[in-house]
Amino acid sequence: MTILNIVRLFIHFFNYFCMAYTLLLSVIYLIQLIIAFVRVRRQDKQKISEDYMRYADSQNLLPISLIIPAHNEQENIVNNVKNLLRLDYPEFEVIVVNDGSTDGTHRNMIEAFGLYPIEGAVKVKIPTQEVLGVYYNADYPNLYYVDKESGGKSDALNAGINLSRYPLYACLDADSRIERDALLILGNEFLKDTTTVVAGGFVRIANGSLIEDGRWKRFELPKRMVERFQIVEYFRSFLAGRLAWGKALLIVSGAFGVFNKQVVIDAGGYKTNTIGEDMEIVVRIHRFMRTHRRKYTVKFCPEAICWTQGPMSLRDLQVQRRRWQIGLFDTLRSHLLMTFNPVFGSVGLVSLPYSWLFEYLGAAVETLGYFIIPLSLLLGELNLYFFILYFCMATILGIMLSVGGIILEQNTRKGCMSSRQAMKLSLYAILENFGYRQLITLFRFGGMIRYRKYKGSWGRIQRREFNARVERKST
Amino acid sequence: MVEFSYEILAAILVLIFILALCFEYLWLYILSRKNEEADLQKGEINARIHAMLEAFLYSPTLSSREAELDALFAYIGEDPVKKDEAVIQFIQLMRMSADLPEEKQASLGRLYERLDPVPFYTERLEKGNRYEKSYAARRLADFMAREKIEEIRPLLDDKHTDLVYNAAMALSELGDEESVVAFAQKCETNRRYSHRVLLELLQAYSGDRVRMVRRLYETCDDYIRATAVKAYTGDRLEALAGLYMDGMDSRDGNLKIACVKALAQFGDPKYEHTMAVALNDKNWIVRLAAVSGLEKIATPTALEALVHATQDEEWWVRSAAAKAIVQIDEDLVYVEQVLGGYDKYAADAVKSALYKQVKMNGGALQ
Repeated sequence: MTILNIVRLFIHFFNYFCMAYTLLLSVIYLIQLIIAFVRVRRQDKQKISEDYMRYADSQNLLPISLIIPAHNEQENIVNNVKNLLRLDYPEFEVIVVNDGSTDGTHRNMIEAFGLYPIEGAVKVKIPTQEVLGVYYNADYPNLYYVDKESGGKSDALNAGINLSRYPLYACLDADSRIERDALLILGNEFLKDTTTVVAGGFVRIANGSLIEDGRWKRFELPKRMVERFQIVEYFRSFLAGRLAWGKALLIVSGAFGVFNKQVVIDAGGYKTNTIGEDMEIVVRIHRFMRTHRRKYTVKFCPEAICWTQGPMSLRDLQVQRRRWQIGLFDTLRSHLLMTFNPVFGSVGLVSLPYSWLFEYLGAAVETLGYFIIPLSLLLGELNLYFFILYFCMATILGIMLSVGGIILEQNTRKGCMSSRQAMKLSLYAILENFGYRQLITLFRFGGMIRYRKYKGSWGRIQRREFNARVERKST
Repeated sequence: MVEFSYEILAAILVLIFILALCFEYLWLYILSRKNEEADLQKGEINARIHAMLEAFLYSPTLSSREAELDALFAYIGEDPVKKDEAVIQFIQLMRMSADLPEEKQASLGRLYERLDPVPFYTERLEKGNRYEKSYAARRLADFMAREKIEEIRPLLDDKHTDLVYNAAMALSELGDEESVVAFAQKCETNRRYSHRVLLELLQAYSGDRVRMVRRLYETCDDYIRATAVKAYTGDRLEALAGLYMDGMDSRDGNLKIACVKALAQFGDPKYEHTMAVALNDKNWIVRLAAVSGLEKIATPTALEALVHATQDEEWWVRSAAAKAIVQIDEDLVYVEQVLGGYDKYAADAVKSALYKQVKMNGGALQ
């Protein structure tokens, strides 16, 4: 058997594998979409009797510590903290953790809020890098600022947990905008069901939207195509995908999630040498709770909205996706023993294998496909007619899933987008199949092969331009 | 031949997918239009009813008010959405009615007569799905429709937690003692709801609160007892002082803490000794609550007990005691006593409290 024959044989089988893989993935996505629809319908009916707004003025809502890890955030940090301090929630504290910033973050915080160092006992429940000081100003009674040695986002979150006084905490990105009732919705989940340990909100792309005084006012489509693609992608992957997983959900966005603090401490806090801390902590909680046979629930609430800035350039998008892929691998590798382990129930038998096979390895299979399928066409290993039909089918399925995501959004968030905007966005569900998706796959594949190089970095994404545009619009 | 039929099959599949996609696009278009229209309509209904209610309330004469009211009900017609919105706005007006002049309050009474919300929500309670029943029960409670208690009670036995929760809240607002006690007893074994939900339920209770606490104290476990005590701590129910004293002897830490806190709320020197004894409790949270009680009592002997508490092994107790001394010791006698004492930790706690006080007052101590 010559090398050429071996190559031909490999290509022959790879083609079949690739087709089966893609079709299987599409079918899984379709099932996820259907489950998500059923759940949204149920939640929609439930909305009429939801009484979280009645708790808005109640002292019985669980108080929440909002922890904001900041690393070189000198442009946004002051405005964002001011916005957070205006939140409508009965009892909360904002803890900003400066993780060894090398820019003016520390100076800006101290000057803007007139903070001074305070002495007090901080119970170190989770070890962190050295805390250089805790700052406070009585004029802002629910604001604490922690200055610490650099240790990464996870370490900053752990330091925030050590300082926090309340039983729940929310981790927020420094550039996120939470909607008025989002914390009420998530806080309510912990009241009505004591087994709730994590409640995640739905993170939406704010690019283009009108934000006034730090609050989201009106949805508008962003100008750049790359931003519009991300909106469609978020509906498909983060709305439909997360709704469908239910209690076996493996990730709550790092931009907005509320956690039972004691459970996180019991589970050992955030793993420090990872950049996928949002997924790692949820998987760690699953592991801890199931190992200790404790009843628990992980929830995803699409009604609790957090608006965040999506990357505005392909370079930033590449950084973000590479980081996600590295974080995914880090988490899956750390908890390898859980995979296919019946002790961990649906998490071990379904969620984790799915993440390995489709979320992680999917990037490699697709990337290989981009090279091997044209090669097999050249070598005559693939019937051109059959290939075209197959390509059409896969593309149409992809479009259907994305449009399904937009329809799902229209069911959860009625009236947020105009019909014109929804239809316009649906065009991007078609366009994304011709370049954007392939690019994302390549970015993810880049994360796989450059894991060692980037696994410890914060992976900064440029935000300034977006903020400037939004603020100008608001004025 | 076989390959050919596969290709035909694939082509048919592609065609089916294209058709499905077209259907999906049509669905998206219809849905987004419907949402847009519903959103506009909702906004319009809201604004229109608001304007009509304003016109009704601020009409100068009785006849003009009646005319405005007729116009409002002509607009509402038989539409349940409009009626519901009118009721919501009516409830908001009722919440502000204490600030309104008598004439306006009488107008609200007239509006209530015309709205007649109780039969409207009773119908939803009878015919609606579980969520509508939940909503109707809460609305009936908003109107204190006590005559509907019997109709709401069976909902407590439903399997649906949302419906049970809302029914319990409604019955509590309506002051149905039996149902609230029954719900609390269920919570003894089923801890699905947070104790804060129980607190909310008990705080919504419109019946005799002293009786309620006594019944729960007699019939429930320490968890529910502690919750019941906590729920009415702010009410300072003197009639329950004996029960609180009794609870302080409990082995359950939560109940003890709740009772110390409830007694502390009275700020009455006759409980000073009880608080001083609680300062020696092995549970530091009980000691912390006792510090808070002694701070409210603020007699010289209470201050002496607080000085003793600055030597506590737990930082939080030391810190709270020091803060209390700094707050109430105007002559600084006790402050100096601690600062000049042998206990370095106690002195540090007072120094820290003084520092915070000075910072908060912009340089002044008091």
